[in-house]
Amino acid sequence: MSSVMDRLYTALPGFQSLRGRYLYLALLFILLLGGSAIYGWNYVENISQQHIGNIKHRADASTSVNDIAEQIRVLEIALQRLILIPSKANIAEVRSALELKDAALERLKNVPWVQNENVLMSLANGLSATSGQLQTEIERLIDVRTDEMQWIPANRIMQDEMLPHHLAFISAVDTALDQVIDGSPHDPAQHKLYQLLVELQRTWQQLVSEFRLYISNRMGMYPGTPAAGMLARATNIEVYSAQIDKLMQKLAQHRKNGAFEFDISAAYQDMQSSLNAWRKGYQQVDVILASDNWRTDIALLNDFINPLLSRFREQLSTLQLELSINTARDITRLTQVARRLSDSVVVLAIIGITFVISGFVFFNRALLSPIGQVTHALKKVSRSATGAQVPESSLKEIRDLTTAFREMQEQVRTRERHLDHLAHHDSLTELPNRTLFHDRLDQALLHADRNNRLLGLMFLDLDNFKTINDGLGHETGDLLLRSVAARLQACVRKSDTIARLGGDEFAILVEDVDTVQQVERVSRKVLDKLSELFRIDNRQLYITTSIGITLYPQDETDTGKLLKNADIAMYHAKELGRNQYQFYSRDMTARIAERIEIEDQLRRALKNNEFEVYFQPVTNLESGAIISAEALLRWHHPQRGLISAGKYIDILEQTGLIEPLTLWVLQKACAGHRYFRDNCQMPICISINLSGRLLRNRAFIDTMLSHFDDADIAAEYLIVEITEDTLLEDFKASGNVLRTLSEKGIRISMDDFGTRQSSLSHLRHAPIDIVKIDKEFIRDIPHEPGDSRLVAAIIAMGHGLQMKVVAEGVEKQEQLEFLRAHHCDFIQGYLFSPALPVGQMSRLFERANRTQGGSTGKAGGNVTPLKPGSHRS
Amino acid sequence: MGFCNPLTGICNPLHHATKALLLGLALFAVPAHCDDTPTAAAENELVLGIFPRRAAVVTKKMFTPLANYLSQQLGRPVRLETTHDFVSFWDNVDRQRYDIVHFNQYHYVRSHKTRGYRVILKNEEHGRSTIASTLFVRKDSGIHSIMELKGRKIVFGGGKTAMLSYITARHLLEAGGLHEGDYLTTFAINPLRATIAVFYQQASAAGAGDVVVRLPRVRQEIDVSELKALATSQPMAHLPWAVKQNMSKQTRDRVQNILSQAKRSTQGRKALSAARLSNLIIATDAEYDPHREIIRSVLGENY
Repeated sequence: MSSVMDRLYTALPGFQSLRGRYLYLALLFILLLGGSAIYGWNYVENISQQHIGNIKHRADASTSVNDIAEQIRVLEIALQRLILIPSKANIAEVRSALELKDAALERLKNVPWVQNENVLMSLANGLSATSGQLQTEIERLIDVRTDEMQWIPANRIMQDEMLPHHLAFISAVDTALDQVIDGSPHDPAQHKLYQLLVELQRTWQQLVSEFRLYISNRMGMYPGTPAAGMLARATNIEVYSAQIDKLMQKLAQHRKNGAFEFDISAAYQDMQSSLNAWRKGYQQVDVILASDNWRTDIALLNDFINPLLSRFREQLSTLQLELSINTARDITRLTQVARRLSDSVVVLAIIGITFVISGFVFFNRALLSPIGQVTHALKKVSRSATGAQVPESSLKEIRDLTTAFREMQEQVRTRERHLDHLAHHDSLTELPNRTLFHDRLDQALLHADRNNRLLGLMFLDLDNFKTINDGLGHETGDLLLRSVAARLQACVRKSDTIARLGGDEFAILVEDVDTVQQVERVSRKVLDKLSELFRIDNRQLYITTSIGITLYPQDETDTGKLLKNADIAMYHAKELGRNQYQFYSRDMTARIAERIEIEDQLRRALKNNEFEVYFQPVTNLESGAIISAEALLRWHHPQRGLISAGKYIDILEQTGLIEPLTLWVLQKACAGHRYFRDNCQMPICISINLSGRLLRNRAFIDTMLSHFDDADIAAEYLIVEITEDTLLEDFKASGNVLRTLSEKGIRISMDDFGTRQSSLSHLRHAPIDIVKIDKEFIRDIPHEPGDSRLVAAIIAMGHGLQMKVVAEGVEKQEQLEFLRAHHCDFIQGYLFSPALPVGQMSRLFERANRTQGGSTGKAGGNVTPLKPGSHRS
Repeated sequence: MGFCNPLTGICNPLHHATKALLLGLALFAVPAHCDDTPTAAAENELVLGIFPRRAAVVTKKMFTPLANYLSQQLGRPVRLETTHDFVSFWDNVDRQRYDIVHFNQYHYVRSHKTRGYRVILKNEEHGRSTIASTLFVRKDSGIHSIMELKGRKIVFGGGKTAMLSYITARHLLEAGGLHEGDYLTTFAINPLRATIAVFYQQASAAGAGDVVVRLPRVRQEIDVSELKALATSQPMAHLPWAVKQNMSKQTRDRVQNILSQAKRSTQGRKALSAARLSNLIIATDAEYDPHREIIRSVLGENY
């Protein structure tokens, strides 16, 4: 089978492909159908032509045969007429029938179909032979019938023999009578002789009359059978003949007696001889007429013509039978042709059905089944099952498909490996990611268990990486992370695992260790290595890391809890000032638990309206007037009482609660402004604090401005307070937002100035209206010379930059005096007023209005309200 | 000038020539026709006559090998003569033209009585030396008895002298209660055609030998399974071979011996095969007594 297929592949180009096979199959089918159609058409055409020709020729032959039969019938009638009356007309009719029969017979023999059929030609020749014999016999009949002598053979005897002797006998009797009369008529002897002769003459005439009646009976001129009449007449003839013999004996007696004269004696002798001759003729005639052949024509008819006619009819009947057989055969064959055509239709239908079924089987075997196998293999591959087998096929299409499948399978495996790598490795540093790290951690735990060894899990978080990433861009941050990863790898053994867990978080698995010191050594090595200078994009960067360490199995045995412990320890390291490592201890967990509890309580507080906005007034140092109030968030904790925002602001930022809470503070601040404006006639400015994270969130800023627009407050009454870090982290974005706010008329205040990283360049280019000196610097003035000089310098710098300066945390009179001496613009602190709820704030306004006629100030100084737009020249 | 018209005085050369030719032929034919007075040349020759069961050409082709074989075995010439029709054949039989003659059973019993021919052998065809007459009808004709053929057309193979196809068939009909005139009679050219005619429903029944439906020529033409035998006669002796009465006993015995032993030699088998015979069996006149009885019963002729 395979060798046959190989030969087909070689002999038929394109046979290897399904398309080629289809084309060859279609060609074969077309040839089969076309050949069948041509063959069928030719077959039907030939059969039709043949049978049409046969029918035509047979019709010709049948016509001729019918003509022959008709002429035979006419001939028989004409022969009957001829037998009755041999007239010229009847003879002509007989001959005409013979000629027409022969002509029809000739036409029959000239029919090509008859000439081609041996049986028919043999029959036709037989008819011709019989016809020839028939014609001969009929001519004989005509001759006989037209010649009376031949017609009735007895005629010749009667005419040639009996009639002369009859006449001679009569003449002799008459002669004898004349001699008797002329002699002695009165002589008695002569008289007796005379009477005897007369008696003889009369008896002879009666004898002849009986003979004539005998002939008439033979001719059938009398009723009854001819034989009976002839017998009666023959008997009479015998009687008369006997009488004549007696009379002749008497005459002989007379002659003996000498009564005859010479002449009479001669007449007597003539009578005797004529009588004998006549009798002889009669006896011959009697024999002839008594026989069946007394008429030659009848004999001819019975003995020759009728048998010939019978044979002719028999042959004609046989010929007609042959024609009928041929007709029936043609009909049968035409029926068979019709049946074959019907069978052919059925066969073609069966071939068609077989073709469809074979086609299905072929396609199922050659195409569908391999495709099914490929599909099955694909499903196996999709389920990551092994042993996916694809079919081997001789079909090009299937081979292409399986090749494509294998290529795809290889690509899938490559991609799987790649994805597996991606899924388990950090794309930036090529270090194992969190998933792989978990896996490695599980394996390491088992290994440590098996070998009874320690396992150190280190959780690293780069210190201030966010600042570098935001400030110098993500690309720099990424390069830094790669460098960090490389340095970390240099710090550990190859058997240890370093993973990047996300952002700036790393983890290190230190396996196969016996003592805590070994882990601690690695930690120190990491801290040392990372503290070295990084050169990234021609920049010199420093980075430190905080490391949390937990040990297995001492601290925990569960992988999740181990990671959590390391994380807690890392936070603890952060809290302790960063750039250090901390081993996990159980008390760390308690602190973290407290933090988580606070998160939950904050969410609940927001939901339960446990927050309240307090306002701390800012007063003009010169006039003592309240010029603005800082909206400060206070949390009325159900158990712990009032908690200031500083305690939980980091948690708010980390949990994202800072956004809704800031908007809520803005809403309350605006409400407070409207309250003071409408109820206390004190339209003071309200400041709110905005974290750097929110400032860089453009969507939040838009939301905040939208809320502010709805608050029915002029923009110049709103002050947004930011910290120095805000500008440092992403100055470009932050600056854009600040300019947007400034352009709307909102003023910007730099809060807690001096405590964090600050750039004078940022201060100069940002639209800062107010600088608020952090209370840390105010606390020890005027006794601490450094702080005093710094505060004086900040005031001078603020004024130099066209900014108003607010001193925060002013609690003592001496501080007030120092600030006034150095021309600080405004003060904020307990010396004047702590942060107050809106109700107390309104009462503060009322009291101030009562005591100073519009000014207020605990210190008793005049405070000039900060007029909108007045802070800048 | 004796061939000139005495009335017109005109001589017809063609007429003259024709008459001369006929005269010459007549003179030439005389020795062949006169077996009783053989010439020296023909004295040793035997004339073998075969009845026109088939076309003359076919008959000649079939029996020439057998004639040659017989001639070779006898050591004397054997001339095969065929005729185109039964009339001519019977005429030759009547004139005792044949020394050895193969004819049908009717011809034999008639020639035996009228001309003294004596049977020496009979045919064995397809392994059978007997043959029966059968009346065939179509299975779907609904005819189950001979009486149901009354008024119907019956076709007989051959002519009225056909022993099996006509005479014995008629005997079957009469035994079944049908006499001549109770049915329409028609004749086919041979028993094969009679059977075929029935198949094509051109007649209700056919009289033929029982072997006819086994002949390849018939089976090629029609589906014989659609025919059935309505009545079949007793098996009767097959077609006879007879010799002239005045043939010497020695010659007769030799001819009988040679032909009955032909099957034993290769050449003889070939000759028999060419004649479509499986063998030639020694036969006696008594074997044809049943034929005589049937002929007497049907035709009223006593042989």
